[in-house]
Amino acid sequence: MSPASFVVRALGRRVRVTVDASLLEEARRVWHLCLEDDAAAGSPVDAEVHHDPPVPTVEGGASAQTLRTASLQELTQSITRAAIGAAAGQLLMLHAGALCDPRTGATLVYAAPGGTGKTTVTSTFGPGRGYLTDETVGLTRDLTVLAYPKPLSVRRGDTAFLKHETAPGDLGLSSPAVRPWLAGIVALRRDGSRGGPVELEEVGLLDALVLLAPETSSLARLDEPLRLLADAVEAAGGLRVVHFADAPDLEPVVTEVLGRTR
Amino acid sequence: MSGYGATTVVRLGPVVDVLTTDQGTVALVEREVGHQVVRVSDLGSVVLGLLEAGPATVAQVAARLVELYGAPPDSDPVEATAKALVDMSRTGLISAEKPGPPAPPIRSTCR
Repeated sequence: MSPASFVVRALGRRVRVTVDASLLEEARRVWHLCLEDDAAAGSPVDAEVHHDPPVPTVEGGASAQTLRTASLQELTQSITRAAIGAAAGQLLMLHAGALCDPRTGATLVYAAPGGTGKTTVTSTFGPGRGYLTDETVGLTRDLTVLAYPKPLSVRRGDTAFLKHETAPGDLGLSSPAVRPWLAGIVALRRDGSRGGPVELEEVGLLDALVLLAPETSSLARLDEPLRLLADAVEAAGGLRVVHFADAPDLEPVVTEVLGRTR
Repeated sequence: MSGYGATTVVRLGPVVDVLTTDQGTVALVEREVGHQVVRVSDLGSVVLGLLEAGPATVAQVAARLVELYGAPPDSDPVEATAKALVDMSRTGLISAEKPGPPAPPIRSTCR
């Protein structure tokens, strides 16, 4: 089939995505919160992604559905790389999930290394709140929060190594109607073996920079990167490291930060 | 033994940015892959400032530190300096190399 394009907005950047037409409908569906209006599709974009079509199934190989699942997962990774590349040197980008209060826009940013709970926290607390991202949040120099409400990459039992790109709407997530603002930043540290309630560890500003730096993208390309990171931490009322076992344990933290007012 | 001698030449590492507050100093150091923010001691801040002007031998760095802080009471200044410089090299703040052109100035912010 011939290639087809759509445009997504990610971290405030417009990314044109070209996929095989056979993948178009599903790709648009799972990217629904990032989709730009088709009427503006011809306008200039900040980055392009050309995604190869799924490889046809061979005898004894992966099923067509598995290939499509893998292809959509690769597409997400490509779009993320393109958006981050387009925003490098312009935005402070934290590997973090982010949710906001749907009425006030108070936003909790929860930074964590890949595979340690961002998506689970997002899908646990996202319904009824404003979904901003489960992957990367962008902050401008004036600390405007830029969303990346991508599909959530969810592992299911049927494919041990693949993640399914899941439309946010399928999980009850939606974009906020209000403008998000930075109300709190936490660093997640999941330890499934620990018991008891969530433990909050306040850290000083400089230790916060040491802790958060590994969870940033292209930090060194910013002008005065450490000042911007410090400004973000201070605006958020400091950094807290949150030790927890399971996502629901975080409920008090989510409620407290999203309840903050400016 | 630190591995550095009096004539070892040290120079600034790939330090991209430095931030100093009333809590201390941190530096953003580029790595082969990615970057890292590291704590910088008071003495380390002096060394970074010194090496901003260009590479220096361990003996030259030691002489400057003695000027500023006096000689350490119970160790040789060059040995003590060499040890501190080795610690700084582990975090990428400095490296020991042959003499070369001066490093570009560090972007630095005080809050």
